[in-house]
Amino acid sequence: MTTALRTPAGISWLVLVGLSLLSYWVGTDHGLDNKDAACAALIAVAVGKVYLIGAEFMELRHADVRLRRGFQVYCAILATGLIGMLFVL
Amino acid sequence: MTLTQTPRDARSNRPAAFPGEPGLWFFLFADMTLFACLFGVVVYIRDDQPEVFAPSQAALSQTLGLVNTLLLLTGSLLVALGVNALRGGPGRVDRMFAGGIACGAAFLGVKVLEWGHAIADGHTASTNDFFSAYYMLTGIHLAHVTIGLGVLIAMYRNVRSPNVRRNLVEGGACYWHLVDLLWVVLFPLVYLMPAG
Repeated sequence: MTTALRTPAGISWLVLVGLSLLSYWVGTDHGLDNKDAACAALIAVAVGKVYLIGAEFMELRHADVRLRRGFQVYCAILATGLIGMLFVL
Repeated sequence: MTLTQTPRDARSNRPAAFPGEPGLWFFLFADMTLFACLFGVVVYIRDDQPEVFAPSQAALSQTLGLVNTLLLLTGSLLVALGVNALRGGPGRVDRMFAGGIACGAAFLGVKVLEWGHAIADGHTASTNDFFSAYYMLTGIHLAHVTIGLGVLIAMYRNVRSPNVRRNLVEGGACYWHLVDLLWVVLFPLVYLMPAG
């Protein structure tokens, strides 16, 4: 298992677990005082995790440029749309 | 250039330009777009009904949500390592996929437990808009997990057979990662995002 954790997928998993624990900490009233800022941070971290899962687990880092760009655009729209809703609504 | 795999992909052990079947990606993007709209609904309810959102969210178990997150992330890691092993990397492919199946099954178990507690406490889909969205989102996601488990079992059986279909394995793995990808947004939005 130690060998597996040294692979790109293993390192990504460690980062994803770390970010999940950070989100849990922020979301269980130990985080930011400003609730909109806390929400924005949670969404930003979540979309960062989405990107990492796509790039490393789905192997989009090595994929055709059209697929890679399409996924990057999806992540950008998801983050902008959800965080934008927090402040516009 | 067409959306087909090149001969280089078929011969080499490198990841394909279009993991799985190219057509699969239309489905994956459509699914991701549908969920993006549903995520927007949750953010809207938070803004529109903070007095409903906060106490309803507090009735959920954030810890069980975290446990399910860790289960799916670990399942995804095992499936990714399995695909890597299929290309000559370390480890046994079938064992990696069996581990992924175990993680998926454990997710289902935790979700049934969580829904059971929520229903026993009187929180059903008709309780309020938050719980409508909660059951809809987690229900659709649960259907994805169930289908994903079927796909993982097919992948497990395939890699133990003499005729390994690499496209099936890579495409199935991408579907399983999609299940993970959707959950990592659903978890903070539904379980963690503070209202008010």
